[in-house]
Amino acid sequence: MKPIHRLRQLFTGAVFFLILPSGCEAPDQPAETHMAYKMKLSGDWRIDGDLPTQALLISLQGVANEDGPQLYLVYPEDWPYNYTPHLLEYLDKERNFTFKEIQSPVEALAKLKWNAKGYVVWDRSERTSLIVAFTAAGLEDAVVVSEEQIPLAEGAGLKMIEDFRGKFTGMSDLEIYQWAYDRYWHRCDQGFLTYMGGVGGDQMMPGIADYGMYRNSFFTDLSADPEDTLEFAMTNRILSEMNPLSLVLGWHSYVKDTEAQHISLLSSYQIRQEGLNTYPNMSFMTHVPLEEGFVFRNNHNVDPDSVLVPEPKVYITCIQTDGLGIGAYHKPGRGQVPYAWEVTMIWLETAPVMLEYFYKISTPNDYFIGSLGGPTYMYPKPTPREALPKMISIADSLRRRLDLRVFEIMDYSEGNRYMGNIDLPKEVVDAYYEGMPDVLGFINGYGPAYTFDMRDGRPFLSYDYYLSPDRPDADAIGDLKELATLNDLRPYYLVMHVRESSDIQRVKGILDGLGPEFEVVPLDVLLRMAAHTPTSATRYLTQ
Amino acid sequence: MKSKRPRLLEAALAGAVVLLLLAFHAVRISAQGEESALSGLWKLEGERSTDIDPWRECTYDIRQEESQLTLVKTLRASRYYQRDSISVIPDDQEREAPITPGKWMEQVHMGARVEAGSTRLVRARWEEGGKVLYLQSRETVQTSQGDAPVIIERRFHISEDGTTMALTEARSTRTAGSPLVYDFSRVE
Repeated sequence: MKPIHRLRQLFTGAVFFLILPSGCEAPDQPAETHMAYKMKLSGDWRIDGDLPTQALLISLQGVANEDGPQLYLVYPEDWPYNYTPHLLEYLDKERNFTFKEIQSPVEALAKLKWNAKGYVVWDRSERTSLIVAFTAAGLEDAVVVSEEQIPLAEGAGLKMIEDFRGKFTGMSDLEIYQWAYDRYWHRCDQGFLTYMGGVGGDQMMPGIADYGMYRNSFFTDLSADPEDTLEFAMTNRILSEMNPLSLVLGWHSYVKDTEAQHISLLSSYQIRQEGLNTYPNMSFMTHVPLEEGFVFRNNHNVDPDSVLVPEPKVYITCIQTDGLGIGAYHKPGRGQVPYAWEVTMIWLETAPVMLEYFYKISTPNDYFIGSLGGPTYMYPKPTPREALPKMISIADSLRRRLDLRVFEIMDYSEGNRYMGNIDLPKEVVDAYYEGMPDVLGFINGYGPAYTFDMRDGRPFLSYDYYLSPDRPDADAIGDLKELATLNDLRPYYLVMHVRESSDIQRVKGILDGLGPEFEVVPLDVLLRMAAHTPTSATRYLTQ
Repeated sequence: MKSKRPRLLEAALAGAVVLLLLAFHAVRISAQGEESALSGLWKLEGERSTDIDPWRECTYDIRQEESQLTLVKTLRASRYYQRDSISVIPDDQEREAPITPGKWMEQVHMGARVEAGSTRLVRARWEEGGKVLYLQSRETVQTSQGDAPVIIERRFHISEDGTTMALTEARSTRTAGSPLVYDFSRVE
């Protein structure tokens, strides 16, 4: 803890009368290294609902966790990253953390304001002011409050640092961000940029804001849509001033542009993306080291050099994408069927204990694969060709440390699962083969794709089916059987992408309905069989 | 109190006129050179149809020019769409026709696509006294293992009053799943 904060607390003790009557204890700092606080968040993210409280607590988390893991937030069940209660239990039982529960924002401020130098007021009538407030709060070690929460902050002894009430009224997002850029950009860590996107309108889900603040990053949701010429130009300006391999946290705004536009633009600057805007507790987890002696061990099903002779049947394998921690990993059924999971490799740099947790609770049927395109989420086609080998090399290094023998690529720069193509030209495929010489194989796509290769016993396969969460089970079974008819050579290797919102019990029901010609196998087994008896037609993207 | 009877009579007469017009529209079918009752813009009624996920909307825009019918199918989901146009002469003769390249519109989540420059063989005829348009398409799709032939048969059946159209499909490669049955309502 910074000593100056102790002194200031003595001087501000006079305001505690606002807090003590509420039943809270006097401020105390956790005495032991592994003592921390936890607090539950509600599921209301509306500006006119609980967002002001959520934003206050998340910003407090960013400040409180500046020097160590102090505040862990437990997100509601329907939060996209649905692991926060389970990870809390892991930290408690396996990593010697002891958590005291905080019941209210008043109590949270009282107990955790040590690092806070003040507060920044955002304007509830101007949503973007909250995004700018996070930038200011990160730089100034402040919390963000709405007008109604000013007495709360003052009562905790905090002083106003910035007041955005009415400041941006009538201004466009471009004008607001230009103001913020002029005022803050030069002070921000330009190795990080936080996209406070995701949902728009009357809501915001700023789960990543604590970490963006912790990193002193600039916050934005500027558009990457070239048709939005002015915002697009400013986005380019900011990205051009960041270093290659910088990290973008958060997620693009669904109301401003598309994921494809966003990632394509970042990739063109060799900037890495790690989403989403809903990533929880990263400022806490970044301080927790790996367990002493912990080694990442994947649940391999075959030796890399094993020879597997397939039978004349349909082999199907399942991969859940969109990264660890989102979707089915904590839903019923995991372990019942072989499943491959995209690993969020960047956690090795930012919060390795997250990976420790997911590896340790895995079952023999959970097989981890490297992703996505590069060291994090990036598209190879828009990445400058001369930079691609370096990005792949870094990804390969992460992959090896995490014991991942399969690597996955996705490129939506020229299409998506509805239209266009998500295929790769031969020179890009060459780069992956050269940069990852000892993988078992590669998987490409998200929706189905048509890039296939086989070199030195290492298959390069594309997804043949995207299992939509909205597709009726009977029709999904019909689709998979139709694919087996369309691909009449045996063996037929069918790689299925399972969208994260489908739990494994649903998937198992579909797999059980496919009949005896199909056999569900782990991904590494399928790749070794495909290496022995390839039946895919070699194909690349041709312009 | 003013009687409502005259107003009811007017409404009944108006309804009768509409029905007569629709019936007139419905019988102007089948013969070459006459406008087909299928002509018009049709919108899928999703709740009464087989699932079309990932698409949220489907329309058929059917136009007739002399003896040729052109059927334009459009699938939409948020900002994305796919469109395929097919022109046929319903004389039961097989003809070569272009096919929209890209992801296979029958189900874009399946690993099948149409190569650029591909063509299909189409055959169309009227059935059931001109109430049903039969359309067969023989096409080739690319899959992970190479090229695969598919025969698609479609039957467009217009209702007596001309306001709804039922489409049934059969694909030579599809052996399971829901019957491919789609209900459309006339938009114009």
